Amino acid sequence: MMKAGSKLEKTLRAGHFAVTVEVGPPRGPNPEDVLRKAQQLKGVADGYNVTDNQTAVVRMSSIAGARLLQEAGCEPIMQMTCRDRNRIALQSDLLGAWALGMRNCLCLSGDHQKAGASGKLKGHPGAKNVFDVDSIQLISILKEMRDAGVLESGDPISQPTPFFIGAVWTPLAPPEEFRILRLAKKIEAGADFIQTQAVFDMKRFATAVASAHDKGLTTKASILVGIIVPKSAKMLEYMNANVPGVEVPEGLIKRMAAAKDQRQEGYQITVELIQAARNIPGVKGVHLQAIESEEVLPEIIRSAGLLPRPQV
Amino acid sequence: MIIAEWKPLPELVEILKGHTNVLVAGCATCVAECAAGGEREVETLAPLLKMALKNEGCTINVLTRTVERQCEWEFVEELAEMTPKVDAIVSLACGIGIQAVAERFPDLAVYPGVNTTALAIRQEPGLWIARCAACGDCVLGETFGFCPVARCAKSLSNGPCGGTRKEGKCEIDENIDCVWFQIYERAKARGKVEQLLKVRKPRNWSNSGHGGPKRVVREDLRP
Amino acid sequence: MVDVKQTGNTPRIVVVYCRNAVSSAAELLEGPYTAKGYHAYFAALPCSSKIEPSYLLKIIADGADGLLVVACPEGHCRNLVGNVRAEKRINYARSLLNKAKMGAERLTLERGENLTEKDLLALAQSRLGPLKILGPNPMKGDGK
Repeated sequence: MMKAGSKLEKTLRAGHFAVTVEVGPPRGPNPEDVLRKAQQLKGVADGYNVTDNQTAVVRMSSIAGARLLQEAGCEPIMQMTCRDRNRIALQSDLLGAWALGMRNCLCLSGDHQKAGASGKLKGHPGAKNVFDVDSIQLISILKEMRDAGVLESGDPISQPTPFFIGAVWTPLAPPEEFRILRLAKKIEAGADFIQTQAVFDMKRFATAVASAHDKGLTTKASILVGIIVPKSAKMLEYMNANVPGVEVPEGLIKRMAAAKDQRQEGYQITVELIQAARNIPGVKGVHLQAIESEEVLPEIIRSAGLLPRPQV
Repeated sequence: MIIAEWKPLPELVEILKGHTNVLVAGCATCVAECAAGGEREVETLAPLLKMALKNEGCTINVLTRTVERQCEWEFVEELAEMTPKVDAIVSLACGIGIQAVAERFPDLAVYPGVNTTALAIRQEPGLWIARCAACGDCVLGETFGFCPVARCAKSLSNGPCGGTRKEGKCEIDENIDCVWFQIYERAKARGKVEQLLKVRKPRNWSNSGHGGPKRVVREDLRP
Repeated sequence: MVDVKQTGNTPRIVVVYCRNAVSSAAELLEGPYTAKGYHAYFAALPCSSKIEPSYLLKIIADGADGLLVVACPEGHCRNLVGNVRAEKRINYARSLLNKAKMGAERLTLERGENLTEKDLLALAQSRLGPLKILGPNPMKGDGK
């Protein structure tokens, strides 16, 4: 039974290997910045994630970014974190998002506001955070609004808001044994699709997926494996050391370091990761991220043999 | 205990520049426990303020007095014999004590000498860690004795988030344990991991600060 | 408490020493000792760990140009780690002196054993150079 009827949902239901890509909204109000990315990425994915003030850096809101993408022909997956808004604002924004045509929503806890102060940015580390509800409670909220037409309070809304509900899985963060149980919790709470934290070791990931499969989770929700396009060996080293849940095999870093053209090698590595992902039973798609270089994605997706996207 | 820490010295110097006679008032309870406002700290800050202000061209006279607790009126009253001699009080008590002093001596400038920061335990000598958030809806029985409100940077009810570092540390500070990692380990040790599989519903934050300034009345204890 | 007399601009150096660092034959010094253009004041402690930041800061706030703490060598404290605690407290007090723009160098720590009166006076004298660079204590003339 169709939950929301989004392109992503239909693609997965039809049994196609899905492709989603991440689009970071601009650090400014110019809609052209979103439209340009939409033009670059049109037709290469089944869903386009719009991040929600990722790393606590102020960007155009994900609702606005999502709406602009949609108008440009790219069906958005609106990301929603729990850091900045309480349940009143979250539910209100969900009503608004649905009214504006959004049908996919990815629920996350959100990076702590301390993350916003890094590199050249001062960020807002002194801001008050919210975290009224957590990501799993947010998933439940969306489920109740969709399936029962009620808010968290139990008060009814005038009509249900069918969303295709997404959640994140970070299989390799400690405590590893609990991560699969937490995935189960998210799916029980109502998650329909899962996008994982970036994976660079598909063998390791395959083991985690096998556990999920044993628990019956791979049929209850569609798992899309996250893949970040690596730009350099330095980037891989950085992620391996600093990004929780991201493990980069030593061999991959060496390979990058030895490459004549690290960018090009990065594209090749990405294609190989996608191909490896396709061979893992229970993995229903890939979620590609090219941070601040979305323009490289169409060629990568083409090289991986995933174009054109199936019509559903 | 309630913990506090000295305000930065430049800030205190700015505050006191216009004053001549200052009372540094300490409290022998919580702030003494966290080495911020007890007698020892009062007697350290007093000469320090004199010297810091002297270097800014100001000569101030500093009196000192530490009372048992600044959150009890009978002890705050002990400061009354010194207040005629000063034109300002710098209180090293927590915000509760500072306000009690300000309420008792409304004609005097009362300044905080500390920033009150948390409800903490002295884990080891010289190390204090926040343990309680005074949230008004205690779930310690469900989390194996670890507070997910005070000790999780995101106050998750269904943690951990994806940010747990290697060795089970928190995403935002490698010195802080990921409390959900600790909760899981404790659950595992007790053979009760299934208790963590239940989806915990959104919390009720209204029994504490979020519900408005807290006011508690006990009729049986009223005069 | 060491009573630092307010006598003009001659440098005043206070030496607070652990009794156990001094040779048993040495007479306990008190002072003031006036010698070679400075006044030295001495105070004996049963252990260097008896010092507290408040005690050290008061001595300087009262006008001492320099304050030297003499402790036993590491590993030789009769109270096991008293001389380690002393160092931590001295470092803390030094950081506070810096914050108050008094100069951390006014407060220093020396370690020694079997020290004689001559040794202690020599240690006091060795502070003259660094203290000259710092300049006289701005708190002079502000005594109690």
